[in-house]
Amino acid sequence: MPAPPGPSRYALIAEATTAGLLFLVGPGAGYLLGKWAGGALELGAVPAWIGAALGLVSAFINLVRLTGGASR
Amino acid sequence: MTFAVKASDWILLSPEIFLTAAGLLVLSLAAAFGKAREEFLGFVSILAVVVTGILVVFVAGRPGRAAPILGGSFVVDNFALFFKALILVSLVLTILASVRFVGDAPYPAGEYYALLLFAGVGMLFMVSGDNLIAIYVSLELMALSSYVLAGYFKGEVKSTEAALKYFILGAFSSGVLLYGLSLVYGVTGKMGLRDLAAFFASAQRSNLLMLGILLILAGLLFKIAAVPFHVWTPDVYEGSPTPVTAFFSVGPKVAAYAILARIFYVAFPKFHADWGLIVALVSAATMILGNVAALLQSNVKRLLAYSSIANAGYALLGVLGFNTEWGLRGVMIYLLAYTFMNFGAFTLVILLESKGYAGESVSDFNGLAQRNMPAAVVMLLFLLSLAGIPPTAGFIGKYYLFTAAMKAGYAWLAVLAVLASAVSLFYYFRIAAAMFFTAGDTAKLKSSYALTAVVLICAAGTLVIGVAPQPFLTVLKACGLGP
Repeated sequence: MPAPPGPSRYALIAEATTAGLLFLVGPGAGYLLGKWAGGALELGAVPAWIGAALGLVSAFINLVRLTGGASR
Repeated sequence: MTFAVKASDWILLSPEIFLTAAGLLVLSLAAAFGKAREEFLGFVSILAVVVTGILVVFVAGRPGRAAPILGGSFVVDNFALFFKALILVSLVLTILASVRFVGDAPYPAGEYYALLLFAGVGMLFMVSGDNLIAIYVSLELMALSSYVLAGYFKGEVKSTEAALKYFILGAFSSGVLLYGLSLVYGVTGKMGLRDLAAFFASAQRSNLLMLGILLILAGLLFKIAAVPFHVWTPDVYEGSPTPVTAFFSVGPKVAAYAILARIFYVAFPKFHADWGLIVALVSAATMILGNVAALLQSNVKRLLAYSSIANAGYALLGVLGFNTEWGLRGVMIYLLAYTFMNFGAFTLVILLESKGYAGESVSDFNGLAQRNMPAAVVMLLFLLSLAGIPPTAGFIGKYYLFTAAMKAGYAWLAVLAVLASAVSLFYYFRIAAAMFFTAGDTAKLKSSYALTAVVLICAAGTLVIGVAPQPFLTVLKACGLGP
């Protein structure tokens, strides 16, 4: 049985592009979400920074996942 | 125009004159020694560049040096001195990185070193050029030497193909540039940059003049490999001997940016609204295409070629911000940082190249951390700097360029630059992941003294500018155009 076709070149480019952009979107979204949660739960600014840190970590994990795939 | 030449003019041009003599000496020595004493020729070439640097310092201390010389053809202002120093640094790094590489190759090294020195002479003249014809002739001196250097490995198909492509497209762009110069001269009757600025102060905008300026811009954009004049870059970078590629990625680009800034800041500031929009669009396209095309490259030289295209787009932001204090300084600090970080990255490719074109694939970096941990760590430093991550030199350069774009009213372009910079993380990290997270060859990798010296100089430059940029910025503050 022939191997299923891999993702197209454009799909690969799109996926690779998201890896870097997530470093902007992830911490930003995490910060805003944390800020909202901090306000709603009356916990101050700490959740905002935790959210930003989590966003950064998730972006890094995504980058490692994608570069690992590219190496294979 | 009167062409008055004073004795002091020759003193101010002593670095260029000395380097020309040194190039001829290296050629003569090569004819006398043959293949046997090639390392000695490399040593003579480095010594020549160092002495040229000392002459640049000597010239910098001469009173009244910033006035135009040789009938207004050249000017030795602080701006020119900065770029001369940067070009000489790139020459020293190139020669050091070439010693082993050229020594292993079955081609004579004397011509190679002499061509490098002659290209250096062309670049030194270029950055001092104060007259369109003087700039053009200097540019051709640099370009002709570069075409031959690209095809230096004449037995390799890739190298000759690179040289031919570079020559044909380079000749075409030179024609475009020359056509632009002739149109500007036809409209104004002047060639001196200051004469042109004085003429435009009272002259009206004309379509023919705009066409001339557009063609000059197109010719110079080719030299810096900006979109849509970038197509030669990946093939030439991939096919040329790697030390030559490293040299192309910094030396000629630095010189081209210097004349781009000088011509458009000094002669055409009145038409900023016209050429500014074109430069903004070119910058945007260059950043997007350079970064997107680099994402899927598996050859490191091609990857770095697309990266250098993207970097050309960033540096154009500084050209846009010419009427702010950030613009010119941004271009200069970025090119300073770029020289160290990009040359350093290419030096690691040279280190991995055991034979022919081996070592150029991303997979050749697999397991580099096990083979040579210091090499992997400094490569990571260069990659972080190229990506613009603090506290590296690349971050400082990008900070200045993006701020220049904001201050000049191109906020949308600054936002686009940040996004494009973020996209670049993927392909830089891909090399880092190959070095640290992927298993590969386990044989220890040894470096020569010359390559180690280049890597250390580049790493020190990348780190020091990033951690303590203030002394460099203070120097750059005094390196504006004109007296």
